[in-house]
Amino acid sequence: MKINNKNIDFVIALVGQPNSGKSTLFNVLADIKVSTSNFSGTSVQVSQTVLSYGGLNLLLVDLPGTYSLNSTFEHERITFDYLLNSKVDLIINVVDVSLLTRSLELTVELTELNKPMIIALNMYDEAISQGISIDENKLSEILGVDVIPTMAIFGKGVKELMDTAINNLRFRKNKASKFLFTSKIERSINEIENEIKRHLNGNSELARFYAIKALENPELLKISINSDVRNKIKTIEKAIVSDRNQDLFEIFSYERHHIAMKLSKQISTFKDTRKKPIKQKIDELLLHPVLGYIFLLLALFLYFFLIFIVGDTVSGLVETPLSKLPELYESLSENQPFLWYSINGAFMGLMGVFGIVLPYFLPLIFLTSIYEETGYTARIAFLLDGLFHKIGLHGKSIVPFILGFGCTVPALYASRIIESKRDRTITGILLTFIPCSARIAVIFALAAAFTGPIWAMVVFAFVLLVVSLSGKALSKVLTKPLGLILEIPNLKLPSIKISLEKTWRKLREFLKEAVLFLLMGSIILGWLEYFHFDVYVNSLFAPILHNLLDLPVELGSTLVFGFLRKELIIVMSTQALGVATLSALPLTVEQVIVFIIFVTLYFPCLATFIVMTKEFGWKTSVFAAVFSITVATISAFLFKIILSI
Amino acid sequence: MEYKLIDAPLGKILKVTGIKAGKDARHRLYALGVHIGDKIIKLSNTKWRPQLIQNLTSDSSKIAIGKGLSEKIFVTESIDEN
Repeated sequence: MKINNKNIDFVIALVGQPNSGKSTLFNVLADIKVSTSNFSGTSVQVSQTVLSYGGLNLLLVDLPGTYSLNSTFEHERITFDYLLNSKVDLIINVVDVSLLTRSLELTVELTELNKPMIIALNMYDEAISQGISIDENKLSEILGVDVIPTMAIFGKGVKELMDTAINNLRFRKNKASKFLFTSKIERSINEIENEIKRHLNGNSELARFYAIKALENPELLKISINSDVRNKIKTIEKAIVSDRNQDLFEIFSYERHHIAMKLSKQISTFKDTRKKPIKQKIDELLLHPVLGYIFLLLALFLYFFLIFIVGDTVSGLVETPLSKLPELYESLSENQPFLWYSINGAFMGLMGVFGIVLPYFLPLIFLTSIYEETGYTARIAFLLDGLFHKIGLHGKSIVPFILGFGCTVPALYASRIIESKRDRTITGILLTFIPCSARIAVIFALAAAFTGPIWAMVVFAFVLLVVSLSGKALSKVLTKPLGLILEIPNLKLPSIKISLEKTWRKLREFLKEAVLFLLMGSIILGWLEYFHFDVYVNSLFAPILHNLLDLPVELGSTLVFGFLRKELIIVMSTQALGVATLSALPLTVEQVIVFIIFVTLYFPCLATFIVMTKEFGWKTSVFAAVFSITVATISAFLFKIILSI
Repeated sequence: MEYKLIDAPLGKILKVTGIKAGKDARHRLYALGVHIGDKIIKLSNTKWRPQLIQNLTSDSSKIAIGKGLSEKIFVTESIDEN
């Protein structure tokens, strides 16, 4: 049965802090789905599934984990925007019981939204192992909503949770009790709330929430506030700040912190087990200043070794049958050349997707998910932060960087693990300089034919220098980094099933969103080839390639084919210069080195451009393209000068 | 005696007395449950990498704090509990 938008009875949003087990719960619930569907206009970072339960069709939305509804991080604001601007009939607040007080701070904030809510007290097993016991009935009594203990990873409590959700949806009950701030703050909220009610045209349910946010963080609000209200907020802020010597956002945060602490004390008891849990002992080793790094090397080796081995094997298996496909349309090349170039363009795109990108992409997503689930990714960031700080980034950038040596596309996807937009953008731009396997093939092929392996190593060393210097330069231009503040979550056992499901969802997303653009782009490049666009391209690149770098003008068109697939440069350069083998290219050793430097550093490929535009926006991808071509030109020119001395 | 977090002793119970960082950093620290008045313990003391702390007041969450920021967080030894 296919369910569309119109058949959905209710929308349930899962809201919780990062690592609260929210996505695990989503995956367990998604298992009982009857059909999945995607809805236009929603962010890729919001996972959704439609499930049929208790006779109702429910849209289940897994919102990105957020520590508060007051976040300064863009991806956490998605949750805020969704809760405020989309239809949500019920919130399931996933609370990590092992971090009860901090999790309850978000719960307190969610009650301010005045929407129907139930609580999933998750990770009960973890809490028990830490000696924490919870009185869920008391919490339910205080909050005025249903509270269900769950262990999502084992599927425990999930049925009870869904039954409770259905019960709440059918009978429209249970909006959470309101928590009161201290009297002065409450008076200010009431004052602003009354003003805001006049703006909301009858939607006064959210008036208190808007009033709190107007005082706490007005930048978050998208409703227009007239100058009278704005002046009132300023007056209140001035009075409270001078009285309490704290910013308003700090006052709200401290008050919620105290409410959550009080709540936590009322509902939980702690029994000191005196026994150091095994997980803690393992963690001490993983974070150890010496042993931690030895383990890190092993973990990274295993990660990349598996990705490269699986990628390389699958790539080989896929490319052999795929490479036979051109035989099927070979006959068209003479009679219908335009059609041949179109089909061949599409074929090249297909080879790129199924022969290069996907074989590396799938093991990458699966293993990243496994590492993330265990909590080790945060530990990698912790261990490498000092090193990456030197180029203006944080430790989490290591994962996309090393993956970039395989293929830039999955590396760009992997950059999603970096929360800060600034750091993620710098990482994305720098990734264009990391030689992927196709560029490594070009470097080795040309180096083997002309210069020997030493120059290949010089090129790699130079690339590292370019990455460091560019990182430094970009981090100086962009806003100052926040500085690392990173939760190191408890170590957990990963679930292979959940990681496989995550991989499947990412694959579907990739196929749906990137493949069409890739095929279209490849067909257009085929047409450019058909119309002998190479003449124009050569003259376009002539000022750089010929005049500045002293390379044959014919190599210009190879750069365009290199944009489709970097390894095409090997074939196309021989074709462009009319020779049969690479070693027969009419180039001096110096010219080859200059050409290698340029090819290694100029923008990777069409697939990278498309995925980068999708992930970072067109401004960033255009900037990255211009930046990389500029750096490639300057670097190649420098090499030309040095080699001519 | 008041220390910068980066200079504070390892393994002792410490009380956060001041956070003299920018607005965004304070936002993030509060969101992760670190507030003035909280009791924390330092789990790592290596200066060339982030400082690792565990919050004892609200729960046992571990938080890594970068070197620069560790110089803007001030703590004292919580004598009665050490």
